[in-house]
Amino acid sequence: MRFFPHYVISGFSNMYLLADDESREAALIDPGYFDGELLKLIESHGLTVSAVLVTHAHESHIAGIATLLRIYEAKIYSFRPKILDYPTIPTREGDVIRVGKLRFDVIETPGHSRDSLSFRVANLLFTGDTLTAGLTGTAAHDQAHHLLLSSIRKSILTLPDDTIIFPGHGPPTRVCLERADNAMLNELCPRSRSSSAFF
Amino acid sequence: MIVRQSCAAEGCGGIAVWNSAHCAAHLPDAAAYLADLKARLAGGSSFEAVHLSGIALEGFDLSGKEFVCSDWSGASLTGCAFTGVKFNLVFLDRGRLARCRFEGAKVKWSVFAETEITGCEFINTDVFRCNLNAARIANTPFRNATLYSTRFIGAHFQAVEFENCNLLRSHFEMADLSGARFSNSNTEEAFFDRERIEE
Repeated sequence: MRFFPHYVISGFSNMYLLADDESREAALIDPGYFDGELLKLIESHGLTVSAVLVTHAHESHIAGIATLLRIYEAKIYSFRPKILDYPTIPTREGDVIRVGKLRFDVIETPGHSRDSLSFRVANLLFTGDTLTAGLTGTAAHDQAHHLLLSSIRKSILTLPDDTIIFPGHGPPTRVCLERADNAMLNELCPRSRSSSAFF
Repeated sequence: MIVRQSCAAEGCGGIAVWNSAHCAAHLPDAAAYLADLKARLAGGSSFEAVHLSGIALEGFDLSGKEFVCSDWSGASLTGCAFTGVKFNLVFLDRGRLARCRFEGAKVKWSVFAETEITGCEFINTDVFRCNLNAARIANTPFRNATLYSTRFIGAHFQAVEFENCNLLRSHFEMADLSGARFSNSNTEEAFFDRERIEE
């Protein structure tokens, strides 16, 4: 497996390119922008993007899809049936997405948004805005916040300790680190504890 | 990518270190391994998947080297030189860095969470999108350093000076900042707890 994180400065978000070594098929997670630099990265490694995996349909995670689809015939996998008017393959908990020999397991993690998904491949987990290093995603109201915490506890913190989390914003982390140090996972920690409501 | 082998020792769940079937704790001859490691590292300039979890290195000069997708979790590095080093996706969480110099280093997408950092120097260093959450940092200057999008959430600082640093989108929420001093750095573009912002 080849793996490249890519920073999208327009939305301060992360997108991730993962490719199967043999088939050179690649998946792009959360293309928040599509620029020459990303195209060069893809092409210089002889890759073809055949799948777009959307953790949730906020602009900073999908805005590059239109440009991408002009270049590559890629299937879009999302909780929603349509993204930016493009039809998707609606994706649910327990689904498996195969890209070459790569296997992505789909985990529903609602809370930050109703359509939030996480994708797991090997020991890597892509959480979008559900969980980032030291923080949780924002939620629209208290009920959504409880749903968010429940999603994280049930579906992410139960994964093996050394699962590496690649979030939609900010640096990577590990499951064991979030379990130990993420104060926002504490019910007593109010939603307004952090000043960083930026995603 | 971050594919690791388990230690060959029966019942051990540890991660085998680079070029060995065993984890750091089960190396048959640790001294010989370290000598061999030193020679191998001296003989190359760019390394991928160099896993050194739990290893203790002292006095290694890794200046100018490049490390990609490497797991150094729990490693203890003392008196090592990392001048001009490049780290990309290096995981040195829950480790120890003592008297290490990172002058001119370029560190990105890397994790130093829960690591104890003492007597180190980050001068003219780029620390981009790194995770230093819950790190314990003492007697360590960050001077003319770019800490763009790096997180120090819940970190503890003792005699740590940030001088002329770029703190754009860096995070310090829930950190113990009583031992940190910021001078000529753009704190207004970093994220702190609300109490600090309202000071």
